[in-house]
Amino acid sequence: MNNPFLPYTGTLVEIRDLAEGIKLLRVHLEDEAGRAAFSDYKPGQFAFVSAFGVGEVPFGLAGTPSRSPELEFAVARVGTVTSALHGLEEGAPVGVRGPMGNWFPMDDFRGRNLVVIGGGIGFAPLRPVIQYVLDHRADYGHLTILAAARAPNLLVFREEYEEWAAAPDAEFHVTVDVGDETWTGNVGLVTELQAKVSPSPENAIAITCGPPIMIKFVTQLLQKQGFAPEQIYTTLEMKMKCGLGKCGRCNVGERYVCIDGPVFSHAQILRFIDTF
Amino acid sequence: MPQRRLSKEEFLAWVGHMLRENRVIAPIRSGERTFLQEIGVPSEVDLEVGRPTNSLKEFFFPATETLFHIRRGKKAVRMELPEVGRPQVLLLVRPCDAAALTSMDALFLGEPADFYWSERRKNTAIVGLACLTVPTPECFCTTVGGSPIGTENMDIVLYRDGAGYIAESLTERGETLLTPASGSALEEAFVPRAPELPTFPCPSMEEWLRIFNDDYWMRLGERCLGCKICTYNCPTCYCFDIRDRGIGGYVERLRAWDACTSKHYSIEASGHDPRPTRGARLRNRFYHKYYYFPWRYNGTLLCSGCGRCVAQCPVNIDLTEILEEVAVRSQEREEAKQG
Amino acid sequence: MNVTDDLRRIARELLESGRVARVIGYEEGRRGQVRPLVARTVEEAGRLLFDERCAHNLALYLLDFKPQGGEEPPAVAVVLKPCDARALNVLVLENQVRRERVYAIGVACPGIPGKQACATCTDRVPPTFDILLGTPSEAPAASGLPDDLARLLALSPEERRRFWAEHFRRCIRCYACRQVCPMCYCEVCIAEKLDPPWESIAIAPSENEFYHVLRAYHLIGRCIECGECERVCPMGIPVFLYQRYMAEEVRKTFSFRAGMDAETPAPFMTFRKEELEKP
Repeated sequence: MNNPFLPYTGTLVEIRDLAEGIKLLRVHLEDEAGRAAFSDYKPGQFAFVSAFGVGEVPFGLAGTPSRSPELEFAVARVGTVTSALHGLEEGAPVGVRGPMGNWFPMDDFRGRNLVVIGGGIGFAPLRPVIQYVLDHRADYGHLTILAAARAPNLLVFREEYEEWAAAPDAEFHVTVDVGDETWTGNVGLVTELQAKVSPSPENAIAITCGPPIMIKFVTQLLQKQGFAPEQIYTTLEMKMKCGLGKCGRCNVGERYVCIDGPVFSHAQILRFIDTF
Repeated sequence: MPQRRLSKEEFLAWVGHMLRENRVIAPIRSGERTFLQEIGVPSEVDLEVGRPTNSLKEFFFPATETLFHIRRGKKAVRMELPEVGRPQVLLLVRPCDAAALTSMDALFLGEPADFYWSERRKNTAIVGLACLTVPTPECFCTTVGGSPIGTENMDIVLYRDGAGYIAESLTERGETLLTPASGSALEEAFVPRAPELPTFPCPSMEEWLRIFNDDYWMRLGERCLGCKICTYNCPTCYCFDIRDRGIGGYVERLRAWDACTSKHYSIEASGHDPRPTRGARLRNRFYHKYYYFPWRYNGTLLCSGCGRCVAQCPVNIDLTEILEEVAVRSQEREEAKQG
Repeated sequence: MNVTDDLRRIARELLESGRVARVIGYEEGRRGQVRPLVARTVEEAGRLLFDERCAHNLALYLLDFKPQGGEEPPAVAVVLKPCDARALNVLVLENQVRRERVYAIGVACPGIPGKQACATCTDRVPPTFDILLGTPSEAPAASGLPDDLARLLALSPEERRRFWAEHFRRCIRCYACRQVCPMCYCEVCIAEKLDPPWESIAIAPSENEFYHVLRAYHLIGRCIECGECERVCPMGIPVFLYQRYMAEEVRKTFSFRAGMDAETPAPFMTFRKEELEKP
């Protein structure tokens, strides 16, 4: 009998700083079965990564299979497991379970303009969306990217901003709540930037991820800007233990983030929005 | 299948027989309480059992279990599954507890099936004890679709008969298990009659949904202690935590019970808590049982009406009262809406 | 002389005058028991009652009225038996509650029939109150050690170890004993602290023992002997027994009982230079 609690074994092939307290982990899967399972994962899906001896934690898959044969995870150091992961050296064994959850319906988004709004580490699960759109550029309309963080040293994937800004039919904006001496860009909350950019809801889909409080305010503003609940997608993160819809922890109302999500349209979770 | 009458002595002899090849779990009296526990000898069985303090779930889903052992070296790890599923017999299981397994099966045997639950479930025989009288004042199984003489998930059902029992096997496994028992055939089949239970409204999902934001939940939360009595002794509360334990080259991944009524449960590493009050956490427990679970599993409730949470709550948070409140408040809202 | 009538009248006055925003008391439960009620309105105050079923230590609920984010919580009134009032004193001493924000409705306590903690208790009048309801009955003579403690102390260390192992084996770690305890107010209990963990998540004998020993030590000189921990234990574990043993030791050694006033700190929370010097 297949036991979904048993992780695939993998090797940490790269670990590097992505931002203050955030590292990028690249994992090569050793099992054939693991590689097969992850051969075609989709933007928005996630996986559990084990630090053996401590525990395991879910992370959004931060890449796409077409761009990287290895799995990429952006790991913020917030607890014991993430601290242990940060402490690993290249070559260390790690465990991976997944891919899990649903994904952004990229097929349904075809022909639409996309507005991607991400805050802090919450930008990581949106990166595959951007990569996917850029790799299938003709299939999608205008691409607006808004990145935000509390401070410049908390912005992730900064080295890719140039590619995104230079992409055809795309615009890229970034803001930080508080700047530093090196920062010359926008300063202010993401919603201020969002108000300034004022994305059009016309034939558009908005996708947002970040801290719960940010998602709430961005979603409110999007609706003021004319986006219907069906036009707004978020990817939620909740504490979870199994990723299989069994441990009972990650519900938003009747939906489980792990198996019914992590991607939801705002319309799906409207009733229970205050409970995540 | 044919029924047979077992005197108390014959029953105990049969239990002794089962003990030879099985782990036997039965109610054991300890002071003022009765616990379902592994027995060593037949005389330990509490034949007068009403409703044991703990539920039967721990014999399928233990409070703590090893998911797998991890042996790790510098460059490689090896994971090994523990042995699970030693044959066991659960004795004198009340219909509500046996019925609770149906909800738990929906969860644990649903895709992807839980290896541990599944192995134990396969290797467990259930000898039920029908309720010919109402065992406790808190019982409300009929409200949630159960029956005091229901035989769901049982391999054998027992009916109290004087100091002994009338036994009837319901499955092939039950028949095999019952074979070594002595006892006498009944001249006339015993037809059980269900005792009368108090009934309460069982609000529909729509009714529950209507009062999600009612202040009632926060008021209940005011007196809730935020402990886990109601969940840990509940036969259908199943939430769990997973974490590794051990040091050095040998560790194990553990699964342990956890409960949404505790503050510790939902708070995230960032400090964000999606259910920041006792009221919000308590509400989650009841909505899980009467809305979220049936939403996902084809209407199956996550409650078998055993009444443990009602009896054991130190501050009288009483599910039967809550069912009434939900029905009344929901009705009021609907009427207010229609003007 | 009816305590309930007086209680309702005072509660109404307190709420009506705006002196307090809540009255924490007892109301009739659904099945012959009583339960805590946090009354907000004059109507709700009419449901308050006090009689010999009122075992809960309501000082616990004062912890829900701690200042949050610099905001002053509403003033509250609370019904307190002698042991509950001792809890209030400790909470004031430990800066969890501001005494002037609490209107203490003391009740003369006859002892709760059937409650373990009350069997040998001689306190009849709360050590602090703003108003006292009821007429104190005559305090019984001190009767020495309670039976269960005397029995425990008569056991050999090995027997005692077995006694506790047998009980802790059954603990399901529902934490009811901790949750009901007014003195257990840590934001994150060390038993559940996972970042970093002090013990594993296992609900198992060694972890259970760790938890109970830890709790016993954290309450030395702080336990106000209400016995709620044991009353709420669903598994019948005598958790108050070890607490009471500790309280007994503190009383013998330091002539101290927790919460008899709101000024004297617990022996283990103070340090005096002369304690360094050997007698």
